[in-house]
Amino acid sequence: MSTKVVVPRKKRLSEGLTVTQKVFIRSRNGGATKIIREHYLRNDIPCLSKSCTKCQSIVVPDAKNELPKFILSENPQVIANIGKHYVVVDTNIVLLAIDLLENISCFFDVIVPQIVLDEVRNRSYPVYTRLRTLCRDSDDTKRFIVFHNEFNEKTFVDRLPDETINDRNDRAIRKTCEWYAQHLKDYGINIVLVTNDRLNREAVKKESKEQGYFTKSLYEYADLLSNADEIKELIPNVDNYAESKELLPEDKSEVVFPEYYQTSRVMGGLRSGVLYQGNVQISEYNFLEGSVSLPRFSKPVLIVGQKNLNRAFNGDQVVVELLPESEWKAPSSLTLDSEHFDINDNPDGQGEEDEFNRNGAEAVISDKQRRLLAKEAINAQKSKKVQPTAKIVSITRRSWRQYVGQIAPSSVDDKTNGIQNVFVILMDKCLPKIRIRTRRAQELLGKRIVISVDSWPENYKYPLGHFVRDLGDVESTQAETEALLLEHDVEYRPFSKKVLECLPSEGHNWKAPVKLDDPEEISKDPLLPKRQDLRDKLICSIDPPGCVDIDDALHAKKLPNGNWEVGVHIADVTHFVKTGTALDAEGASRGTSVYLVDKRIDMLPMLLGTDLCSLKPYVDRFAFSVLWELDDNADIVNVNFTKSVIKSREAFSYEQAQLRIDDPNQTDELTLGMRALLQLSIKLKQKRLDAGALNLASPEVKVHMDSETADPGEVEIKKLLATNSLVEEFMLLANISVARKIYDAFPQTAMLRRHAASPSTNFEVLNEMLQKRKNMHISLESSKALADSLDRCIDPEDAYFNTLVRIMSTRCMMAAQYFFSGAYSYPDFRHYGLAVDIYTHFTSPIRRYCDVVAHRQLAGAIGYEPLSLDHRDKHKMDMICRNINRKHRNAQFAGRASIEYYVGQVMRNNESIETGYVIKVFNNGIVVLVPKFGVEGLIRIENLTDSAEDAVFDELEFKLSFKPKTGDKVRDVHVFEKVDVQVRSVLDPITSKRKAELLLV
Amino acid sequence: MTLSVAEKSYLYDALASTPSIRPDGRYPYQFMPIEIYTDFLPSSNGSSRIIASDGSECIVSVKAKVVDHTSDDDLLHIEIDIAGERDDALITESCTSLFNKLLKNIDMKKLQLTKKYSFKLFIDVLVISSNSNPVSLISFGIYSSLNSTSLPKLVSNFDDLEVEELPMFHDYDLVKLEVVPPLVFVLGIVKNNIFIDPAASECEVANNGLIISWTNGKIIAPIRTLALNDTNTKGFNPNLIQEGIKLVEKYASDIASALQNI
Repeated sequence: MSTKVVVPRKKRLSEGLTVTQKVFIRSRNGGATKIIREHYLRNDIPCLSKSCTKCQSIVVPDAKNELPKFILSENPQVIANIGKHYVVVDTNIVLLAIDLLENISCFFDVIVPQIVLDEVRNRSYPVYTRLRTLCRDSDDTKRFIVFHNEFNEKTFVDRLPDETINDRNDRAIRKTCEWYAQHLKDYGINIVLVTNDRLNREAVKKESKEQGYFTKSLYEYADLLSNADEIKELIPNVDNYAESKELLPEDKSEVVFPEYYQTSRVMGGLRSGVLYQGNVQISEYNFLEGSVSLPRFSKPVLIVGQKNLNRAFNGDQVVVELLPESEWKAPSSLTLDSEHFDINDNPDGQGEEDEFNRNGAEAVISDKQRRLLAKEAINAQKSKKVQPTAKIVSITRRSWRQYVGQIAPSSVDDKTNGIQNVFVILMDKCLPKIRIRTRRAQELLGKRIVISVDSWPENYKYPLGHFVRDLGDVESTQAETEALLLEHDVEYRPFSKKVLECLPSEGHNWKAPVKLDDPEEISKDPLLPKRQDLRDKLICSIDPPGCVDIDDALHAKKLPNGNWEVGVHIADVTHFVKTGTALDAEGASRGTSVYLVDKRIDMLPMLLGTDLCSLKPYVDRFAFSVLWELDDNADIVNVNFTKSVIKSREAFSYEQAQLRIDDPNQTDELTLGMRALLQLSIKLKQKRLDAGALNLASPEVKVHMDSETADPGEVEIKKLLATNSLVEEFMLLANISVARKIYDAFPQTAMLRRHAASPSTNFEVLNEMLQKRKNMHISLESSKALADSLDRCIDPEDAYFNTLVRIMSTRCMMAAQYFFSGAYSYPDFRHYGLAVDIYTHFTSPIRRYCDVVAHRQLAGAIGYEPLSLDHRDKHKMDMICRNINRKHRNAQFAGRASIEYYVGQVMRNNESIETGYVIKVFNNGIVVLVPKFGVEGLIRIENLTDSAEDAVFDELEFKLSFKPKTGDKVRDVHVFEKVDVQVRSVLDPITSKRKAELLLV
Repeated sequence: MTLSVAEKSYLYDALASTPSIRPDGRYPYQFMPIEIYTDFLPSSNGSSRIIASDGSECIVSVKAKVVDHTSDDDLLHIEIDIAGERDDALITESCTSLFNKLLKNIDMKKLQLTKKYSFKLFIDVLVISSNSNPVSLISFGIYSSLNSTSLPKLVSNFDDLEVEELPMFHDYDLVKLEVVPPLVFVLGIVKNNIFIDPAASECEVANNGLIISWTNGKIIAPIRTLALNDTNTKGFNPNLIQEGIKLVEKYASDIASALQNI
């Protein structure tokens, strides 16, 4: 076969503008489309160096009529042997060492050729945005520019026949360097091309003796810097390996992991339905077992073992293939975590290969047979126990990000001071340990460090990564807090200048206009006359003590006809946060405020959250009000929505409000209104429960539950007062009313929240345990049936049992999610937990972005102001929903992790014996929940008995029998059993994580 | 072209004489000068534009699509459009059917990608103007456009029957299509003389016409007679067929190699 390249013609269009063609093939769905693009070349692209005198005369203004800014310094850094220089980077350097490029102590004047930028965008979007930010935010220390080499007449290169595109792009970069070197020769500035590609470096030398510029590998370049040692430490691992490979041939080892399938096979297999794509989820208890939820299967398909997991990380999007029936198995009842697995593995060696030595040469299974296999698998899932298993054959998208962990002390060789390979154990125990190369191993021992994963070649047992930065000592509050924020992807950096610029210029002195018809005020805010003046209403707010971001306030007033006028007033955040501003973008990306035990990470800047928007008492504030007319039975007679200006009369804490309501001496109108609210809220709650709303909140537990999501919120001992539920009921009512209104106005894009009914498979295990041990059953026909059956799960001897069942069933339920109305059909809008047909979040716009969108949509629905296109576009709404769902989940996890950390710290000094409940039984351990601290922990078999081999695990009875350490009699432990455990806080020597350790007494 | 009776008679006598004298002085085996441009349509896989010296002009484009040849084994599709003629005109339809038959002679194996997938070629012919029968011109156009056709290069595996794969292609590289398309020659018969590529005026007086197809050094089916005009058509000596075939056999390979060298 002879390949041929159509040599593009060049055509001069006018002085300084030439057109040529780009030809390429797009393979999609098996087809091949020939694509032709016209490509224009110009001669007015400047070098952007301040020292250059030539380019100033050729520049032309852009579409905004602005001239390009010259950025590169006329006095760049001087390095040994080279002198003043600019750096040109290639794609791999950017992808590998973006952290290094962002570092403020190296890479000062950098030219990014456009071809590099394009390649980076195709390979990794996050890195691309970071590079773009670098280029945008050029300042006194770091000056990055993009040079559009592809559009420059002088630097554009055509692809040569038989040249791979990578070679062509490398050549384009070299051409750019050559041009720059030529161009800047007169100003004494040299060009250094930093590339790790040895062939590329050699090509530079070969192309011309008098190339005029220098080329270095990243390592060589770092070596030339004055702060070489510090920088070299930060060089990513892959690079080091590539370098060291030349030195150490024995480091190469046999292939251990199976190779990934080719794209063609993956595409073909996905199309013919024999391969499946999904996100892999690694089991919390066993890091060598994962599962993938696939739409075709009723249950997640298991992936067991390192070889089948084939280098997947938790959360990666993968393609799987079913294994033959002979390899199907039950989910393991073993617990394993990476921290304690193979701790003695040597980071230099490759570890034992027994697991991988099974012969890879399997007989080819045809697609037809595979389809039959899939049918078998679906049947097997229905009929119990043996579960179909699969192996990962390709990874579509890596979930790699920066991870927090610490160096495993056992992997450090304290004899050398040089570079060594060490393992880093990550905080997330579902992930494998990472191998990094560092010179500072000993210094970093006992510190929380941030690392980044670079690659996982198939001949390495563990992924390769590199050190990014050091957060501080393990167990120092600051390091731990930062670690958990990083781990949960919470943006905690202060708001940028651009965001803060969007705030009202008056700052804290901002005041709501005294008169709504003041022409001067109207000229500033033309929408002012549409606001309703509700400052005469007796409004108050009820919140937890010490609350500063007051989202909501209420009032109630008896109407002449005997009905009640009830108002819920929500902070008018959207008055300050307009669409399309940097402030809005930041809020949308943060999605929610995050509440840690000692810290709050705000979604919106403080000025808004705690002052201008916050419905503080005694001052005028803008609000978005929902006003109902309710009859005595709390049925809605009429509802009205309006933007308003209010003045809260008082900010109560729950307790203060309760006291005031209970005090018979108080008979002022405000108190009367509060009493009315309380009465109405009790009726509302009863109606809700009658409709089948789940009551998962249990005041006895020290874990306060959010009644709507049923997620445990706080561990502190919290007595629920009637006033808690007063506020809650009206917020629910407001949310429901608003949901109906915005769905009516925007049937395709209304921002809503749903909670799907849980599939019965989720409850299977729990029901089996209940059946076996307690002869009880949870019904799942409807939320009402579920609520009733939960009420029936009572152990007369143990009052806590009911709560335990509620906690366990909560874990079986689906998570509620945000969505836009076009994404589901109306029956699926249902909120199962609350037993309503439609629901949204409207009442906390200061701390949730969903509410901000709901506010805008409601404003659009009542004709206050037109709704921005962003919230009328399905695609954009989808992006928003995805993001806030993720952020919401992360925020919850971060909050819980923070509590866990603090509970660990609290217990540090007091060991005690507490009552616990067995909630899970494994082959090699039991999981016990201690209600008093809200902690649960695994007790390993080694800690239960001296003779772990003799322990018997009865899968059907959920029973583990073993000989306790003290005593000879065999002890049986069943699930749900009440046990006494010794709780103490220990520092795991390997992971240096403090956690509650439980020991059976 | 309408000739007067005297002109016709003069022309006829000249062509019928031994040796025949053609109005433009060509030998019996000689073609009118033609100009051919290839690859002038960037977005198709192959293309050619052919212009004969009498002003006849034809453009051909070849486009490829990946198909599953186990369900669609018709890998060549030809559409002929003659300017000024309806889609269902006799000449258009007879041309289309002629070429559909002829192109069966192309080795379809060359279009196979994998055990399951092949390229299907869509050949679109547009005769912009024609003063005499265009089949010869069309066949040269098809020949040179197929010759200039380059197809995306397969990078995935060939064997995909048992374990299905979707074909994937190289992002930039193209592979030249190597097929030998047939050529079609039109011959005019005047009395006992036979000559290749009759011009419009020659057609006017010809007693009959022959269509002879040729590929790879051999004469192939179909061989057809063709009435070149409505007034002068007569029977002819069957030996002339032999003569015509010999003529084509003798010169066709030169023409093919001339087209090949574009």
